[in-house]
Amino acid sequence: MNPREEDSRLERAYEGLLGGDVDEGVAPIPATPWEESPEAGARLPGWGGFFARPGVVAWTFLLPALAAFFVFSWLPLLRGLVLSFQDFGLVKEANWVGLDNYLRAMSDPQVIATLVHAIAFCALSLALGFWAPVALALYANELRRGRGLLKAVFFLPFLTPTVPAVLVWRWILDGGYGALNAVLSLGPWGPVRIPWLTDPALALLSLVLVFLWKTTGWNALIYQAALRDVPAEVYEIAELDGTGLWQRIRAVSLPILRPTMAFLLLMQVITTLQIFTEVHLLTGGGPANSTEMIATYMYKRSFLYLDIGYAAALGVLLFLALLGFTAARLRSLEES
Amino acid sequence: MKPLRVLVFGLAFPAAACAAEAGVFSVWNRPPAARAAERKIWDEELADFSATYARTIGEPTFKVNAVSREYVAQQFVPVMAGGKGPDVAKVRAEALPSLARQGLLASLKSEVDGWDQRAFVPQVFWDAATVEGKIYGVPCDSYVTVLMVRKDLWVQAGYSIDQPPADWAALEAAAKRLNDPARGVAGFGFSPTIEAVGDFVRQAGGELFRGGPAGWEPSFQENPGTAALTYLRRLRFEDGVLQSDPLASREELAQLFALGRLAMMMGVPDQMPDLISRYGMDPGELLLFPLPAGPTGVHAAHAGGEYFVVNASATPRNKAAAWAYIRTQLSPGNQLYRWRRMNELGLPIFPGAFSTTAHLSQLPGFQLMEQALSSARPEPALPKWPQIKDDLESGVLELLFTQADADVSGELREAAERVRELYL
Amino acid sequence: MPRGLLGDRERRSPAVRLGFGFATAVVALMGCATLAPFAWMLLTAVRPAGELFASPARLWPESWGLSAFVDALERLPLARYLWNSVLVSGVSALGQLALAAPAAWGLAHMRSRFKPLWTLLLAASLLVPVETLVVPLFLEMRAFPLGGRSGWNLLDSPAALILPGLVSAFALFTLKAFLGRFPREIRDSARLDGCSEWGVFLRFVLPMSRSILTVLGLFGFIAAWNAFFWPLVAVSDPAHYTLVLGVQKLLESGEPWNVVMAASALSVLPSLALFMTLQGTLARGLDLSGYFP
Repeated sequence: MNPREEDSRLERAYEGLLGGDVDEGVAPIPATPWEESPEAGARLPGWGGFFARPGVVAWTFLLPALAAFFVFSWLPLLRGLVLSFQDFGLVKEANWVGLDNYLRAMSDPQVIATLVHAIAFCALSLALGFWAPVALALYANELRRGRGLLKAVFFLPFLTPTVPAVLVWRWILDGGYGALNAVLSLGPWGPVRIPWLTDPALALLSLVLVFLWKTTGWNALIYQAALRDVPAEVYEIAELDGTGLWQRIRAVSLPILRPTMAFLLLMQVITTLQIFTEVHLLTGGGPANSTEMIATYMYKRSFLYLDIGYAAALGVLLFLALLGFTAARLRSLEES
Repeated sequence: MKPLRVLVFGLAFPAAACAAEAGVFSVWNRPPAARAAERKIWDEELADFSATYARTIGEPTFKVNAVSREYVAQQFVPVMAGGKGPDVAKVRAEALPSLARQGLLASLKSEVDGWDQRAFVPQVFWDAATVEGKIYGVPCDSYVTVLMVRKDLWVQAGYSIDQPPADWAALEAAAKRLNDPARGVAGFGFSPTIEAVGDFVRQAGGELFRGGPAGWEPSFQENPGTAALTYLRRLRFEDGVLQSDPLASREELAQLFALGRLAMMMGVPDQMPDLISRYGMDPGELLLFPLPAGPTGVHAAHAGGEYFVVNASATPRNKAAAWAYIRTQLSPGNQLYRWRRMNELGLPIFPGAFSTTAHLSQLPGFQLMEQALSSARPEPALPKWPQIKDDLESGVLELLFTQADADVSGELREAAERVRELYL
Repeated sequence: MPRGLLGDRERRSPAVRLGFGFATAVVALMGCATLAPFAWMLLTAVRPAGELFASPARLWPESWGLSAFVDALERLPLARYLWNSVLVSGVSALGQLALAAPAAWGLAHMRSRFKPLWTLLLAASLLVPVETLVVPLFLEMRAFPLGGRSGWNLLDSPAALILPGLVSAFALFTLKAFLGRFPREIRDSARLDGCSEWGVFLRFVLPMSRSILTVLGLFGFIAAWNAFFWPLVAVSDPAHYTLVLGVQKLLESGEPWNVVMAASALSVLPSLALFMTLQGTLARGLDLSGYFP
């Protein structure tokens, strides 16, 4: 083939793949595997006959990744499972205790407390911060200019490394010398000394605040990306019909965003259940264990109490919980 | 395939690097960069040891890796268990039995038995490091809790520098007089750790735990414990003379104290280098008083110390080097050298910088140590002390110091039950 | 031109103008709240220690100075930690792509009897929380690869931080979804012309996926840069700390807040600079709606 022809063919395929007008895009052809096509019987050049066999070639693509996953993901999970049935102290020999760790975990008030905290954290962050990214995305979609500035500002918390950001927040939320109290003290009610991080009730709220600060911009960007797919005609029809702004939002924007919302909801639940860095650095488990989360509790039990079998059991339970939740969510999504 | 090359390079280089570093003798507790003068002396001692030891074993390329880290309970275990941790480190006395039982420390019994300085260390310190008949640590320094007071604020309030607050009532009155919210000065700095609370419980005539190696019983829930916590909570909630952050750590309190935002605080003389070098306090403004007596007239403070420990997974070569290092550090020659250098560099002399052997007790500046030690007692040598400490601090103490309407005796009783069930 | 909820004629109406103005004010406020921590970080870092503890805090410092930065540079070996972070993050990100791209191509287009099994296992590993893996990984790294009594001790080296970061189910599935839409005809015609499967992959697929590879590489870089939990456990020698670990240790060792804020500012700057220059690619990459449902 003429190189120039080949280039233009590639270009067209590239464009179709990556954007451009939705109408003119190159639709993907449903795939019949190469191995089933008539040409497969022909003698395949390069790499010798054996390596050209379809099954083997597939393996050479998959093997490195699968090996890495095996060593660094599945094997540790398996080992964690094995550890959860043992009583192990990192240096000494392990001895089997069967289901002892699991039974202990289910009757440990601290474990139940961490679950309650995780659920409260998730619920609070959703209640306070679910609609803000949506509203932000809707607003950003209307902007003619300045969208870049908006993106730059709101994406910044996501780009900032978590550790310095959380340390700054710890200093801001300090009860006596923090900036938040200083700003609040500017009002007519005089100096304010709210114990953001040292009151068991407020500590969780502070965590939610930091979490929302970090994730709102990111969520808004994802919503905005989804909103850009709406073709102009839909809006024009709605405008001609004379529907009000709220109805337009409800009829057009929200349905478009629904799958993204479901996806982000799922991701949020998964993230909130696994949160560690923010908790460890902001409150360390909180005043009187009031912000202890599953991950921080596992860390404490593993390395301070050296109760590794127990922590492994908690890890397995956490994994099963996430698995169950995701499966249930996916099933409900399929049904709807 | 540039990325591939970068990948291979990226994995091979560190692998080679860590292979080369394997087996280097590594020592912890190098003073941080913020304490430049101390670090200088420490480096000098280490260089001297390095050169001498290299000559002794005939290995001119003997290298020592000096690491600037301190013992932090939750992080120390993975470090030691990781097999790449320090060969020699200093740990706090109360953590030693727990670490030894977990198998992280090497037994030093044979080395200590053959040590000529052994008899100069009080037996009680050896006992605290003995687990199941084997010795796991060598005592290297000791400290006593004292009341630190800012001289400028103390004198300004009309008190005399020869008159420490004698009892709880006097302490409360002084704190109230020194407390000045308008100028941002809090009267008394108290960090709710189990050791600090334990001092007040002892002053009230009780103990945190009662018993001995045969068995332990929690006793903090009895009347002295309740009395101590009621008193401290009164300081916090009713009098409002404590620092603004109820859960402030010792380091935060030291900062506030050095900057004049705290008039008094409970501290240890070991904090003096930090106060002076790191936080910039004028040494002339520091007054050290013994802790007040309780309502029954009991003076009590707690004595603690640090021990040199050797990693259980150290190679025999490194273990020998570790013992040589410990011996050198605690030798009379080294201790005198340190005392001389600290004087030359203008560092405050405090007992915590020196060994617990009796060599230096005749030197000036150590009389305070003698006096304080007479009323100080060490922590209960519970086998699971770090875990109990964490449980009590995060479970009960944090609650009692952040909730004004907590039921003190009820919470303490519950905690005692839990501790008895889980750890004793 | 892409349009939103408001039509051109509508925009000119005074009611909409007012509403939009109000919304802009609210967004501006949110923007200020988002940027406020950075401003406070800098405002604290230029203060002398004596001014840190006013109650309530003084928002504008009375005296300025860079002494905190000098102290931070002295006490935080910035160059060393920066190099550690760059090495670990860079190799992690590249390694992730190197492993995930061929596997994604294989999963998307090749027939294999075990494909459903691999897909299931890889999806499950998306859900494995890092906390569950910490202790087993610790044991494995202590005696690589089997984690028993004998093996290579990889702890306390960049390898311990890089290797677990090579597995990213997120990258794999994203690439799989993306490559699943790769036009069939290119591959077929290339094969007909005599190209091997790997040839097709290296010469056609990779160059055409440059943008998404860049985006995923950036995500991997950011994730590895920010990692805290695993480095905390795996690295004990301060010489091997990453930047974020070093900053946290600074606070833990009792440095005053202005020094810690100065160190934080210094640690935020390189990552921000890097990410900002690549922000164009990142934002463009997010417009690829191929991988969000």
